[in-house]
Amino acid sequence: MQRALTPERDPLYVAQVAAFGPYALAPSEAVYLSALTDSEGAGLRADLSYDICGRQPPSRFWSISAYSDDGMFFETPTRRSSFSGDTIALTPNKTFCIRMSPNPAPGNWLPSTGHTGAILVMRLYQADPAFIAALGAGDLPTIRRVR
Amino acid sequence: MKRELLVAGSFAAFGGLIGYFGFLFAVPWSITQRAYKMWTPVNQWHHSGLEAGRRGSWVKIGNPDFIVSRAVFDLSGGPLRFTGRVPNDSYWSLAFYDEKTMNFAVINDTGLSGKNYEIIVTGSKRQPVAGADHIQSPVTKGYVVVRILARQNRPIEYWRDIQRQARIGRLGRSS
Repeated sequence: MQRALTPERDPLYVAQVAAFGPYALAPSEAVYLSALTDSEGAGLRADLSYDICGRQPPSRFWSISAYSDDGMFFETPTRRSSFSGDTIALTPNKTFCIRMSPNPAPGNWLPSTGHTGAILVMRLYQADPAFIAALGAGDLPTIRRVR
Repeated sequence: MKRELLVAGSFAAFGGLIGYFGFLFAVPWSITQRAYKMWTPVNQWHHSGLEAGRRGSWVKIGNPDFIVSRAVFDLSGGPLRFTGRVPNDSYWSLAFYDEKTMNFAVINDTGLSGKNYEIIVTGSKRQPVAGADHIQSPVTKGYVVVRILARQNRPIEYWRDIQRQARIGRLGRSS
């Protein structure tokens, strides 16, 4: 399918995209969501454990990836840096939980390492336009620190 | 004294405004110039595997599920013809960007799955080319990216083989 787009011309928006996500796809094709804090507002850390739980988003493809605060993947022996709709283990009611942690965990374990901050990025490709238009915090996975 | 302060304040505000908008335009400009330097020669694909975001890669916040091909396109020598193959069982897109790094056109695999594609890219004043998918570019020089979702149900070489079939040529010439 071919789609001519009308790029945003607001200089502030353009500069933000160039600085934080240059050459990103237009929102009609892909949506990128990032988290630097957990659901309580505390900064994400690589040396802590978090449960990232939610519902499968209505999109053709989706993924959740973990990064060190320098924007690079955590270098771990498993080299797993993301889960997607293709690779995640779902519960019978189509929800999921990912454990981001430096400690091995059963199920959807996203390993982290080091004592840096962490960044989580959720990508949605060809998401349902109605879902995107009404997207709110309640539609996104929760990120809860495991204590 | 009040008048002098007012004049000085006006100059400071004007200077601040110029600096602010200068900064806003400088950010996309510097990113674009870097891309132009990095991806030479123009009109030639540069393919990457799944290494984006790994230590040693220049890509930050890389996407671990996609393989990507990048090129700087230059229409100053005439229209360009983009050809290649679209996978039949995964996401694929061909996205074009202007000099501000904004996505001005995208083609995805919907309706093209498993087929070969041919896309003609011309300047904005050129008439559509009969019998071909045609994109009118608002810029003479820009950036283009092919993204392929490298699903894990197949070996990476399967996806990379499709990736390497992409070509950019001048319209009317074989490539």
